Amino acid sequence: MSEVIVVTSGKGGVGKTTTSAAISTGLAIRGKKTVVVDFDVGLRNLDLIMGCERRVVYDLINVINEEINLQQALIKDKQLPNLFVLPASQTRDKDALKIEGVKAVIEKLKESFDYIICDSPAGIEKGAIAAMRFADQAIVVTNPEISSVRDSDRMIGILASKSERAEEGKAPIKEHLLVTRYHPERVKTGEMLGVTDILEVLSINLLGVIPESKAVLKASNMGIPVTHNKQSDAGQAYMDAVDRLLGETIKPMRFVEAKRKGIFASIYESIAGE
Amino acid sequence: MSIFDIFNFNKQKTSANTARERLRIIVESSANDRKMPKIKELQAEIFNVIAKYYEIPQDDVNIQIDQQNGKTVLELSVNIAEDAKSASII
Repeated sequence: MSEVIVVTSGKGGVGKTTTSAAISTGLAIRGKKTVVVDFDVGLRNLDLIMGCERRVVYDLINVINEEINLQQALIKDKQLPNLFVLPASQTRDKDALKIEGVKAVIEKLKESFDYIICDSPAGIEKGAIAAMRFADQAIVVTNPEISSVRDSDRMIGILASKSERAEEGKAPIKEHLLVTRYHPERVKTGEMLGVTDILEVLSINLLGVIPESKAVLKASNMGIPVTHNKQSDAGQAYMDAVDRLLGETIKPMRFVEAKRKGIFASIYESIAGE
Repeated sequence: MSIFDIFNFNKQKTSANTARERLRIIVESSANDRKMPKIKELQAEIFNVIAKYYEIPQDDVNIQIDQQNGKTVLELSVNIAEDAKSASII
């Protein structure tokens, strides 16, 4: 059985694409056949984060318009043989995302993949709706910031009403919260909302907490998803989230407590994160 | 700043430099697309011709435009794997 998972948030810049890349890479590392689909038509960036930007000619819109077959449009990851990328179009606009066409593409992907990760654009417009429409699960990416939490709350409402599952009266989308750019020290000093504060408002299952990390920018710079950086805090936190997604419930949350740092820890952190 | 930066004589290796180089390539290629809007179409058509005979993924056909000594050079590389299936087109 394949699972369609949308990575969404409402608000922009919270780490949807980073998360889509990291989670799909993690699933592939765990042996799942995975495809990650960019729904941000007109402003694609997933190809950059996945490091395949020079290999894109055809995209999701070409597949929807049947100008190329799906197998040919899938870009194989350089490192993981069971990971594929379906890029968004750079030149078209969101109106090209015909919902029937999206459905056909998702159905076809289900034939050969265990996990289909849909990277949603920001906002609640056509692209975001198309990305979540056929989802079985949703990862709501939220920063510990008041506007991001409110937008996530709004998004959770939309997930419950605008999906195919909702309209056909099936079991609702399974929603997970992923808190990103978390700064335990700032939470401790009372400058930042904590995970418990966010959970109180959103009350959905907590999938993971990704700490603010130098490794994330480095990963985008290099075009290598942060999950490959196994020494990094963010890489480990994403891998924990992947394991929870795969049903492992015993793992406690890491990187949520402020730590007392010695000089060696500081040096190690700057090396691992560089 | 990490301990490596202090001893880093080879600045080429930083991730920011990689990002800079990747961005340069993207910007150059989209400038080329604007200068020669037919290139993407050409690449697509060449791909379609090859796809009639072999089932290959899209990134196995690559077209690059380079400026060399005032001349524009078009470079086409096609990679057909030995085990590529013949396309089933009647």
